[in-house]
Amino acid sequence: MNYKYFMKKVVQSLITIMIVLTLTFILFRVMPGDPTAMFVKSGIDPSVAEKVKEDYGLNLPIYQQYFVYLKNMFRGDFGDSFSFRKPVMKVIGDRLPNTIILALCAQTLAIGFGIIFGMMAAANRGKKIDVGLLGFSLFIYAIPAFWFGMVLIVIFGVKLDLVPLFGMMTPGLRNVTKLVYIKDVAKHLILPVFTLGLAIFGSYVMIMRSSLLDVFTEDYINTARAKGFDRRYIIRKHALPNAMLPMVTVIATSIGFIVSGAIQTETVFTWPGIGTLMLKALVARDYPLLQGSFIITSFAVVTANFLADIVYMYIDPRIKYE
Amino acid sequence: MKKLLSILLVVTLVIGLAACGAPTDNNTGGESTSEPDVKHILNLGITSFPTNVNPFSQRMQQDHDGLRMYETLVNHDAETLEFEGLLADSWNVSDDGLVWTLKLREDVTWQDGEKFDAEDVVFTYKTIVDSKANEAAAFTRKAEVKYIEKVEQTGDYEVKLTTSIPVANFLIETLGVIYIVPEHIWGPMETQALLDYQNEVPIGTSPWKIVGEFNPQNTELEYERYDGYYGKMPKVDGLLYIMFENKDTMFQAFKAGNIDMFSPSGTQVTELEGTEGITVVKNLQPKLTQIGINIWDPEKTPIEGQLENPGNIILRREKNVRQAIDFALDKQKLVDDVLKGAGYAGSTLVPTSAGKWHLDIQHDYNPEKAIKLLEEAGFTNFETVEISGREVQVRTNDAGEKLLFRFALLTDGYAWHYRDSTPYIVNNLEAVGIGLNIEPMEGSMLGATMKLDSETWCDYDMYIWGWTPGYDPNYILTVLTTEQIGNRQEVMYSNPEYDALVEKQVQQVVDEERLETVYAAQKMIYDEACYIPLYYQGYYDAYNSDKWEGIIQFGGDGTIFNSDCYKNITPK
Repeated sequence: MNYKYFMKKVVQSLITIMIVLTLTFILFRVMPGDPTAMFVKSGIDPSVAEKVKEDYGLNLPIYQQYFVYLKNMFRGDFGDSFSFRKPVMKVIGDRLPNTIILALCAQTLAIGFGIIFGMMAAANRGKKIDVGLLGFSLFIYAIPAFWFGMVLIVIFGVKLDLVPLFGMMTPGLRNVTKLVYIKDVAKHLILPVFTLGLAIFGSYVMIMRSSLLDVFTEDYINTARAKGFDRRYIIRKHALPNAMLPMVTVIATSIGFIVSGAIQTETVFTWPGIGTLMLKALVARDYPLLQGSFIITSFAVVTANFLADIVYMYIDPRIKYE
Repeated sequence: MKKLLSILLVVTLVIGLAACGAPTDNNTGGESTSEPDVKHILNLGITSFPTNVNPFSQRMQQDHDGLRMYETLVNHDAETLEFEGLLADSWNVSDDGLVWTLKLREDVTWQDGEKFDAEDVVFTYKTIVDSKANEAAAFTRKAEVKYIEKVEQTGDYEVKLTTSIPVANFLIETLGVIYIVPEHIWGPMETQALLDYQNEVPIGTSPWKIVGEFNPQNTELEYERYDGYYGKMPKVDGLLYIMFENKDTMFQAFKAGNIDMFSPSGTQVTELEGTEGITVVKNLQPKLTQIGINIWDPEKTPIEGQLENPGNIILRREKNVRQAIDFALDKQKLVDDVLKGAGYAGSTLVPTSAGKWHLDIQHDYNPEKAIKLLEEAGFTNFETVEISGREVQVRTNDAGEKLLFRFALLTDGYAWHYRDSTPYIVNNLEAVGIGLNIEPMEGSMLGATMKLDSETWCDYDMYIWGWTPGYDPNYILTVLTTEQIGNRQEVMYSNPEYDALVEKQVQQVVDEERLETVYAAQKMIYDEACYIPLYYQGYYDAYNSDKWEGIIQFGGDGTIFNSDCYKNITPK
């Protein structure tokens, strides 16, 4: 373990988080709109609207709001959500597992199939299978998730009536065994997982393919060929481990973004995750909840990148961190 | 590679396992497969989920879906719009209109089995009335009790409410909106605790009892029928509100039979029309969309700290120009093209769906009359100006003043029909020589120009915006009173005669007398043409008529999402 490098990365991550905290604060204050406007417009007593402002500290000068904000952030207190009237951490905590289930399943499928298809395309460069896979990946990559989700809903949910088309579980399903519950959630996962998975699958295929093609031109691959090793053995033992390096970066970044959910996919399928929560917070101008969601997402991305840097140190001995 | 394939296999299997076998019933039509008795649950598609089920502090419109377990003292009959007693059996008002005596029903029990009586009503009303002096106590219904001076219990089932002035709309604005809460649950709480109470298991008196706990983060809200209900028992076993983040998905869920009722968009209506087993109805609630014109006169209505009106002087000075704008607009075309027929062309302040309170002046689309009015005002010359890259001929007068105005257009999500209407408005006005520069902005930004201490005070000429004023005319009439400048008012109109009419109507407890005053107030604004109603917009509701009958539209042409409909709806 290179401690100097490790500490450098820790400090860099902390600075990034501090900048994120400040930018998040500024961003939400310069956005047009007053969070109490909706109460006033709907005919609520103005004194009630004033009280709401006071309760949430929105009547304080901006610099005071900033210091209060920083103090609370360091104490892990993100405040109470305007719209849910609960601590932000509790609101996010309730939604986070749903997003993680969805995103992890989608990522696992996308990464797995992305690697396999990327390898198949690279190993058959210029052949029909390569052109086909590349074309398919580009097509999938270009399709907007919300449109693709709707197409899946219409075909598999409405026309064929094979899978549930919205939500995380069957409405009204109560008092059932854990097995029934798991089965029900799994059924509801099918369409969103495929939508989200396919949306990211294309990029993995393309990165894996180009990374492998780069490696194929290296001398040590030619050497392995000259030694008479089997083609599949060369790919598995010599090419793949080296081609995985760029994938680690991409995967780490994607994993970081898992926490932010997938706003489009979650919205189309009414999946109760962080993505739909952020959208709700934005529409309701729920500042604490928006800030909380942004900060949690930023933490996750910074942490994932930090971990990727550390992992790199181990898997790529060529890199010297001095 | 083997490990990778194993992981993939497991994930695919876990997700795919469930897909095996026949598709199950997603509670379509509410038939539960796990119970031997067929339960009839009405599945309702919604796009906003309730956030707060505390009747003292709820603020959002969608919260009412979460308050179905509570009842008020009186209610509008959905079919006749007349008042009927709910928790109040009968009521009468003293000759001077100041004392309301309410006899309560004696056969009501709370959903936890406790008896309902006058103590519950007195507690609920007293709690809000007593908070009037306490600014820190943010009870949502404070404004509705502002005239109540005294709340008294005069018997086990009798309550007396004394007001400071006669209040004409006391039934609809006060007795019909305050949900009664059980004193045995809420009574021991301090003021702030009452407001903060999460009320996860709300106990009410209505035929609908919440299933499980309320959580604003859920995507469904279920009620079961409360069999101890005193009144007409619903024919369905329960209601299930299902929230959709996306209207298109909700539409597909309706087509797939997952939900029984929802509000489709205009485009979806076109697709649904003619589908067997589906009925689409127009839902015309009292909603108003208007063009407002900034007419603040700093000399006539001085405002501390604000000396000048940055709005357009012509619009403020020339009533003819404002009236010409009204005559130049083809409002029926807006209803037909933008609202796809779901609405009425606007003319006066109180929407058509408010029934008798609407002053029925038919809108006269008359560009010739508009031109005549403009010419009478001296705008007889033309000048070519550039608007959004187009050359437009606008009228000018001899002093060189141009009929070219700024038009604030909201960009908020709910403002879709404002945006769709704007090209028609622009065309109509350009046809008579009036040019509009469109200024897109958020509602809150426009709202900020109407706040007294704002740096952008009155910095707009015209805007398009709207109200959902309810069935009683008082709310929308008060918007244009002088005291609402800096609060609800958007055009800064001030007329002591109008103020007096509004003040008078709210104290006229005899409907016939009040009607005359309400009409006079509407006529005054119509003539002034500072507030030009464009249309009274509606929406569409759709339901599965193959499965359900007994649907009731509120007020005959309103929403099907109403209490009387839920009580009356019957499975076929």
